[in-house]
Amino acid sequence: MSRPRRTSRRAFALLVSAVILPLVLAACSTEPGNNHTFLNPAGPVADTVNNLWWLLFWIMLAIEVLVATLVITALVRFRRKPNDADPVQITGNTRLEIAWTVAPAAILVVLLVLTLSTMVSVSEPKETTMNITAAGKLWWWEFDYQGMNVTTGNEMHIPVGEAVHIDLASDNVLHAFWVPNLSGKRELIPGHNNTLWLKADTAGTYRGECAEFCGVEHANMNFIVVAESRPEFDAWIKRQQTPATPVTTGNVSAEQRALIDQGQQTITKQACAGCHVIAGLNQPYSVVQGKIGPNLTHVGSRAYIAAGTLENTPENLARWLRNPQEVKPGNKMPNLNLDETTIKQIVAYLESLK
Amino acid sequence: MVTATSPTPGITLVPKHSEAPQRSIGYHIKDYLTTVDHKKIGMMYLFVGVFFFVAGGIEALFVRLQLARPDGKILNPEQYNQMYTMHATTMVFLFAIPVLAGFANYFVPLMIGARDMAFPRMNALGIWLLICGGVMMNTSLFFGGLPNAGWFAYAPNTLPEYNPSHAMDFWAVSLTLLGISSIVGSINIIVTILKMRCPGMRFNTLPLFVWTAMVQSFLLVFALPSLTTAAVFLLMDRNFGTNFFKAGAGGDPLLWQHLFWAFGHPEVYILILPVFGMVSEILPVFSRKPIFGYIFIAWSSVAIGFLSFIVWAHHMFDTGLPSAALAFFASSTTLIAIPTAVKVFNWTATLWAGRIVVSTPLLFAVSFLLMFPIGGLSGVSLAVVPFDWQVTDTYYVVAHIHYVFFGGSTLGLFAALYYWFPKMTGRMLSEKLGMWNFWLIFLGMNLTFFPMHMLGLLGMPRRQWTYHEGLGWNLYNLISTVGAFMIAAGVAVFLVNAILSLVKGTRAGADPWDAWTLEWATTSPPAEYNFARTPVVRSRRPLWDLKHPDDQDWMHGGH
Amino acid sequence: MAVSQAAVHDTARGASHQPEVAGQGRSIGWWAMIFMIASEVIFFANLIVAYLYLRVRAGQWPPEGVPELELLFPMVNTCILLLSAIPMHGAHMAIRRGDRRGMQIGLVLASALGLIFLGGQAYEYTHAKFTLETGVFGGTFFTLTGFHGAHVAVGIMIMLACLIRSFFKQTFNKEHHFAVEAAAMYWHFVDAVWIIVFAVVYLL
Ligand code: HEA
Ligand code: HEA
Ligand code: HEC
Ligand code: CUA
Ligand SMILES: [Cu+2]
Repeated sequence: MSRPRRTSRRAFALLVSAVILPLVLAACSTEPGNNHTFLNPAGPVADTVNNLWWLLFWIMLAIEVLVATLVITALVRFRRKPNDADPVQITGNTRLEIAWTVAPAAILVVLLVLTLSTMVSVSEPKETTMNITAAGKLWWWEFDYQGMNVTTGNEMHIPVGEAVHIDLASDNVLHAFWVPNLSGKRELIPGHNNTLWLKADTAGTYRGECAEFCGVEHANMNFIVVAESRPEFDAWIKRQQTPATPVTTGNVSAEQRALIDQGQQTITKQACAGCHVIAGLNQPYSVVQGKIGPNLTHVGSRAYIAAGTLENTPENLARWLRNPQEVKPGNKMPNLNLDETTIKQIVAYLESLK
Repeated sequence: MVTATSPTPGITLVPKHSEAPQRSIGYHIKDYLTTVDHKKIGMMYLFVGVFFFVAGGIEALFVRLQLARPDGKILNPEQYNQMYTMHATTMVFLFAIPVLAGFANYFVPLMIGARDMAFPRMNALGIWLLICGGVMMNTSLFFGGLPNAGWFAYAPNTLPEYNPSHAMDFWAVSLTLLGISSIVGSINIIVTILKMRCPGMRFNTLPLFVWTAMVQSFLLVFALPSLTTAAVFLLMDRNFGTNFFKAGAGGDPLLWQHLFWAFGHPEVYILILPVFGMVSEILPVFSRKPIFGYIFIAWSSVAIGFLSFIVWAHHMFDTGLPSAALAFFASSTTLIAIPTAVKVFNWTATLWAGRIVVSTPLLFAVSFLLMFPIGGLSGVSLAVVPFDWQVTDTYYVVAHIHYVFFGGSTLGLFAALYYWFPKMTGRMLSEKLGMWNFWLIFLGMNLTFFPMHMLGLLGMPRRQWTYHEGLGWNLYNLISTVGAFMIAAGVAVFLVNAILSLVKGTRAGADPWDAWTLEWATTSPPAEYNFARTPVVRSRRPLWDLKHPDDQDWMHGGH
Repeated sequence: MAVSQAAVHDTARGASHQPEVAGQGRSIGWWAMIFMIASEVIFFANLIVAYLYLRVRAGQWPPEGVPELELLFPMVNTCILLLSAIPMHGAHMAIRRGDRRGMQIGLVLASALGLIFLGGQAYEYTHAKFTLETGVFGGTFFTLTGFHGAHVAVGIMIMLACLIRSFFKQTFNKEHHFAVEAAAMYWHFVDAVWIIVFAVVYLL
């Protein structure tokens, strides 16, 4: 008979630490930037779920610690020593069986009640102040403010403290709409009218993302939600409702102004209009539906381009126009082989479309 | 006649190994290609399974390399999507299922005292279909690329409009082949267990591995048709112009999800139930006392089996199902945790007050007992619908997947490999390498998969080919990648261990663990006919009875 | 020490007892057929549930511009298929009596009726006023009836295989005729499924 020999206590220490180590790492995670989570709630739904999570966490931890303690104690205490005789051959105990059926059942009933009551408490309130259609495209988002004649790409503004209703629409594959700081996610399914509601309690910019696999660039299908005060929001809406007008006021140099003008000329000669709307320039100003690509009417006002992939700076925009496929491989905007002058002009023009 | 002095007629303890005659390699190859012997077929299943484990593992390593740092450049998006899809598909359909089928094929007949499976030739059909399916799945590489839509391949992303290569056709056809393979294999196992048990082997004395193999087989027989239906619809939509999943023409993408998960959820229990059985075999032997609460473990498996058919929509909580449906599926999902809890506590009680022999099979079994509940508990948290809305489709779910599939199924399978390797080959695996194997894998898996919980909570969606700097995900991803390579090292140690012990391992003898079920009553490896005489048993531990003629289980009114 | 029931049980049977397979209860083949058929039943159940799901979502059924399904012809065809159960049963009973000739006649009749049914289906397909691509209506119609048709074809092949074997060798006799039994089981399953498919697709 081959019997194991090694009996190092160190091994058990390791065993325990392997479970605890990552937990410790979790606790002291100081990496900057990780506030893009419901653990950092900015709205009522995320807040409720945050509280719920910590309750779940402590229950789970307690149960795992209980099981681990029992198992490891058994390993240490009942380890076979040389010359040990066989232990008593116990085969079961009905009372224990009942106990450990009923106890988990009780905990689970509590969880179930919590589940159902929370589902009720996070359901959509009757009072919503606007309807926004969030449409999942390949691979970017279009937000249409119903009845307001505003269509934007990858950037949604909402007024703080108001509940807004979101209609989720897809005419292609599945996507899922998710703003962790505000609410849970919901799938966009062709043929289904799914909805969601958002409410931000504090002003701020919240990252949103596509959470259902949707193809090559699922990873780079992000957006932002800007929650701002009602007056700021109204001003934003108003601006978005105007046709494309380069902002050339302020300290814009004459040189820059010339570039913007040239950009406006040259962009109409390029293929852009095949995929993009620039209301007032290549479309009557009421047509603001983006087509294949995002509506560019006010692209200069956005914080990011290419669905959260790049910050919206002249350098990044130029990089995008130089070769979108290098920035976001596989996306639906082809490399148009623009020369550097054209790029410079178009960048100046687009950035001026505040 | 049965008397108190010949407790288990038909079997005697075999003192020595049997020396197999030396044969040429060519002989063995031909032998395996044409065999209908359940043990050889079982070995083939195991070999195929381990092969694909390494393949799927290497795919996972590519995934981890790509995600090690933000803006990784190892793979492009298309390659990444193929890699993670094939990783999961390979692990689920070509590693876990075959390895479980291998153990069931090898050990069910031995444990119930039969000489072979009920249908030896059908058995051979099963393995060859599996091999065809596996080859087919991977050959799509030469026809425009590997499948790239994830292991549950949600429509309409799988339709030609979005997925023009033929990969999804290959995927659907090979899954159908694999399905047929599993169905014939399962029917064989069910009938074998129903009809081929040796005298005295009643349902109340059946080894628990056999119990769970039977429940698993029932699940396969009843769950796979849903996958076949889904695959058929997909193939028709792709190739014959039907509109099952095309919303514009009256179809519904959600139909795919219902069909897939009606299969997919039973599937995940299919991959764990036999492992529950293996652990229920191993823990008692190394605790030197019988399993605690046999009846409860056996019947809770049946309960899990039934419940697994009514929980599927917990994978679809965020699809906008009506609240009543959500409430129903949340309830049924919660319910399914109870029978599992019963098992966990019974295993713990089996260790308690035993005389625990610490060796590699035990360590793996105990680590299963520690790790599986982490996955199970995160599963219970996922059943809390509003919480699921936050973490579904994030790495939190990926963590759940791997704590149950790796911390559960895979660790349990390693326990079983160490436990039964001596029986199958006649050689012991080295304990020293076994320890290395164990610690690398155990630590590695926690490093790899635990941080994924945090990534999910911090908002990292799954199936992302890359992520950017500044989101707070860098450290956890890096730890996870390091862990994955630790697992790989552990797996490599295992392979080395297996090869070394085949060449020069110590001889195992018939019964190296001083165990109690029938497979240990025959030589290692067993002869073609398994048992010289059909055994007759009268308790759950026939070899205990044999070894303790004065203290046999049945004498206490036990089983 | 109390001798347990298990022990008594085993002692009564005796050690010389053969494994349980021999002679007790149904044969292993019968059980395998049962589970195979069960799995097939679930397959059809999935098809039917999918059909109902899509149909309920569609609202209007059949869609605009597609006439209601014609009933008389498929009704007659259904009767033909159901009728074939009788010679099939007859064939099974015959071989159980050891009457090989009777079995052959039964198989010929049953498979002939089956072929007529398939012919009828082919006629229906070629004269249908819609195609596979007609919304979900066409797709579900052809998939459900088509998969059933494929099962009928397999059933016929099993019967023909039995028939051919029965001519070549003295294969089947009173005791050994599992293939015929299996053919009968399969055929009755195909019949029964058709009743449901027919009811769902044509009558509902
Ligand atoms: C072996 C495989 C396996 C097993 C056993 C389980 C077990 C469970 N799973 Fe899991 N599951 C998967 C494999 C598995 N799962 C996979 C692969 C996916 C993802 C698929 C994909 O999207 O790709 C998934 C996804 C998944 C989801 C969907 C998540 C999402 O996509 O949003 C949910 C939701 O409810 C869920 C729940 C559960 C529950 C409640 C259990 C329960 O059965 C767990 C029961 C166990 C315990 C509870 C632990 C032990 C018990 C105790 C220690 C006693 C005390 C406990 C309590 C009182 C709570 N699972
Ligand atoms: C049984 C199932 C199983 C197993 C065992 C594993 C094992 C592993 N899995 Fe996976 N995984 C899944 C099932 C499984 N997985 C599923 C179902 C999904 C969901 C997919 C989807 O979304 O569709 C998933 C998804 C998934 C993801 C998420 C991908 C994404 O969402 O983008 C990741 C990421 O890290 C991952 C990693 C790993 C790793 C590192 C391992 C490791 O444990 C692997 C360890 C194994 C090895 C490393 C073997 C290598 C061996 C060697 C190298 C030996 C050396 C060779 C010689 C000496 C010859 N898995
Ligand atoms: C064939 C279609 C197509 C053409 C032609 C095209 N684009 Fe695009 N464009 C897209 C798509 C699709 C996107 C969204 C890419 C993504 O994020 O996945 C996009 C994105 C952009 C963006 C980023 C917008 C945002 O808010 O994220 C800018 C700016 C842009 N395009 C400018 C241009 C200019 C300028 C031209 C012409 C010179 C042009 N595009 C031509 C398809 C096109
Ligand atoms: Cu859109 Cu993922
Ligand atoms: Cu599930």
